[in-house]
Amino acid sequence: MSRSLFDFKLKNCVCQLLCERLCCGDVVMEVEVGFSRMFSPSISIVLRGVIYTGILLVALLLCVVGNVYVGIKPFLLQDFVSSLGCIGGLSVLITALTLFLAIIIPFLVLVSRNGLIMGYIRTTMISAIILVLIVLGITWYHVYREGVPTTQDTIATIMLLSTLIALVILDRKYPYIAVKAETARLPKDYLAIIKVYGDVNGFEIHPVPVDSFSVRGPFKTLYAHYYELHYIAGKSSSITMKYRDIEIGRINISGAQLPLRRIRFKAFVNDDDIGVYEYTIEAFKSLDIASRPVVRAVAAKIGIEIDQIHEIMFFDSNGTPLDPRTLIKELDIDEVQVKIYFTEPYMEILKYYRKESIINLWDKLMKRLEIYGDLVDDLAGNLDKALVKLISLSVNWW
Amino acid sequence: MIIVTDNVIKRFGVFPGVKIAVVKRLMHLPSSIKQIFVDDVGIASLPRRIGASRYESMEYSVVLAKKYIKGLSYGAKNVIVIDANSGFDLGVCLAILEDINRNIGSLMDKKLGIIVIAPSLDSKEHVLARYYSFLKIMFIYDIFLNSLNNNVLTYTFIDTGNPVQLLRLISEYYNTQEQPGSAVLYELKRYYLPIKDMLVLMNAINHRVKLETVLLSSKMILAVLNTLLDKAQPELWDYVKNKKWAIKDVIYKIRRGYDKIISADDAIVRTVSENMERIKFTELLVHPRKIIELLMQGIPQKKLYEHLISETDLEKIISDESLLPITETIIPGNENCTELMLTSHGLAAHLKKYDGFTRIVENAVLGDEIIRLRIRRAAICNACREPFFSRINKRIVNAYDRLLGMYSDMLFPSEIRIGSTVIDSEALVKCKLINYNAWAALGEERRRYCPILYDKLKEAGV
Repeated sequence: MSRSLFDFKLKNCVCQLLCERLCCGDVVMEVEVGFSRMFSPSISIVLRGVIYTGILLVALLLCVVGNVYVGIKPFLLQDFVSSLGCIGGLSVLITALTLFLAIIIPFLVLVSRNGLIMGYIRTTMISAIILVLIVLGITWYHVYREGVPTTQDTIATIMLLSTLIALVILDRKYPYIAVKAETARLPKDYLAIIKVYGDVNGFEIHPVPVDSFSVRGPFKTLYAHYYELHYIAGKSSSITMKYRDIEIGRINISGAQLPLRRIRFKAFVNDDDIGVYEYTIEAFKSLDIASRPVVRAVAAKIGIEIDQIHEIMFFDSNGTPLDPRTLIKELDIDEVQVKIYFTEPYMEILKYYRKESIINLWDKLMKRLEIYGDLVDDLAGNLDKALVKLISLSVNWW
Repeated sequence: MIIVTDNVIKRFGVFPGVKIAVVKRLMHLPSSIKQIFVDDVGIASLPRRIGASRYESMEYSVVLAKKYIKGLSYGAKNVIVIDANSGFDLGVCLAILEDINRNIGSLMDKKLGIIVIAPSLDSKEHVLARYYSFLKIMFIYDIFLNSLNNNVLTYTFIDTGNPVQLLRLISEYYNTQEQPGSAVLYELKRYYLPIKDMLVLMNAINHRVKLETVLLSSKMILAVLNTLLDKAQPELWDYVKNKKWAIKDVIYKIRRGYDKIISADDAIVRTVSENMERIKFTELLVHPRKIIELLMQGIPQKKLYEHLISETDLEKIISDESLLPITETIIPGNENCTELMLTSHGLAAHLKKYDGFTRIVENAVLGDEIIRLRIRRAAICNACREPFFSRINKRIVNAYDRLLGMYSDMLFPSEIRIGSTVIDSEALVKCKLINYNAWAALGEERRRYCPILYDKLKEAGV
């Protein structure tokens, strides 16, 4: 059962691929996916791939056969090679090698970065640009040898240059990326998968609120990368996807009812029992995220900063350590011990006196305290003198 | 020797150099200052005006003050500071002038400077009128005494609203300079280097930080002691029981230390912000931040001037035209003016390397400052039609004209003496307001403009 709810005004064009209403028990959850059509695989990969391959073929023909339609004197790559002094089979070989290099080197570089499909599409455009550059170069080499450029040469140069500029703009402006979201498993595992064809370096995912999703990935496959988005908290949320600051898609979720569990956290600070905290937590959270409120509450209660905490450990009631990445739904117990450790500043002093008897230690500390008390007196007196001087100097300002 | 009167002390307090105070009521003053207490015994011949203090009357004040001033001993240089808002102060000044006039033979080589704190222009009418009549009488003495011996009597005016430091500076300047000049309008501006201030400020902040660290350490030890007591055997408790007082003492000290830090913060912020607001004549030569940076680099204090004062600064000081006048009651005419730079000894040594600083007065001030002083030797005459003379503000003259018929005893004493000649109050009313500089400048025209004064002065032998 699917129906459209509202439109997304996106930068380029707007479309709604999928809007699902999924029933999960008696709770209704609405998932709504919108993507810019320019970045959908069908247009960005299939249509674009066909068109770009055509452009590459035309550029290849221009290089090998020459432009016969405009009536320009054909300056071909092969002619150029033979004019350099190579004859017969050698010139054919060098020509073939040049064309091969112009296509195969960009292909090898780009496939490793962008994946197989997007790498190929990108190669077609880069190779077309290289081939047009070669033709332009050869034309101007001939003009240089003849001495005076004819009208036809000028026309050919203008056409080639404008083609080149058009190709470069097309290459720079239309990002080589295609995105597809699969939300089929959302009601069951609360998991969305986003497939990204092309370069993932500029691709960003922004969930709102930030903690509502945990993003894992990217994982690499032969054709594409994919991200796993685990829905862990909240009733409604949205994910915005961006590529180099261009918004390319969004997923909205509302009315989600995540499974909950009630867990008792028993908190210890430096092995002292602090208290028991009981919370109801979304079951898809991992243990370290779920225990965050406990840690914050304890830190506030005993008056330390969060960044002073050195270590947080989890145990069950038998004393068996638990992995902090364990999901709550995988726990088979209802009580977890959270042990928080931090260094108290004055413990440093005790290190030096480990071996003393306790009365000696007390005396030494008292002596030190008395010295500090005298120091406080002296410094307070000095401060007073300085302040009196400061106030008396105010007659200088008139 | 600086002599001050009752109202000046009330308004500005005691400043260094004051030797004698003439007061209406005995005050708590340092023992180095001699108080002349003018006791209001009442004079039967003078009726008391209903609804006004008797000291408001010029006649009463002069007659009373004369009796107490008689035995005053003068130094080689004398400065009297009076507040023209109070009739008593003016009376004392006139009494002193009369005293000098009487003993003119023995006091011929003594010099007298009068610093008049002029009333502000929106004071009450009778204050302004009395100020005008006082000026008239003072100028008659000015002409008389200065004709006998030049620069015996000099005077200047300061507005009421000016800061007390300006009063100190001017009275110090009068007390130390050889020839401060008469009938002077001052304009000045002060360029200040707050080196000392910044040193003290840094010192205070430094002590504050040190105190805080020490307090933290002692708190930490207290915490250790606390844990020890928590986990120790009973024997330690027995041992500690007798030494409770030591811990209590330290805790008290720590608490007091924290109080001190809070009050120090308060004082530092308050002094800094208040100082910045109060500034009027002073302009900072450099930003205080630059001074702190240089001090942090460890540059000795003597060499600081070379780093701080650039030649462009000095050019700016020389060419600056925005000097502030210290009185508004006198409107300057076209006078010749002299310009001086007052500096301390250390700064003068540095400034003498540059060309533009020719008129430097060393040791005139104590701190790191340059005071640019412009002195106008004004010829004041309200009656003369020559346009180049200075004039008294119109509002004062109007107040005088309006009150002249009603309160003549408030405005004039019954008579004054110059030499052996008596000028009674009727003649005083008819005299024009003219000072010595104008009198000297008028030359042969004197008789035409001020006939009565001319006759009287001739009679006195000028």
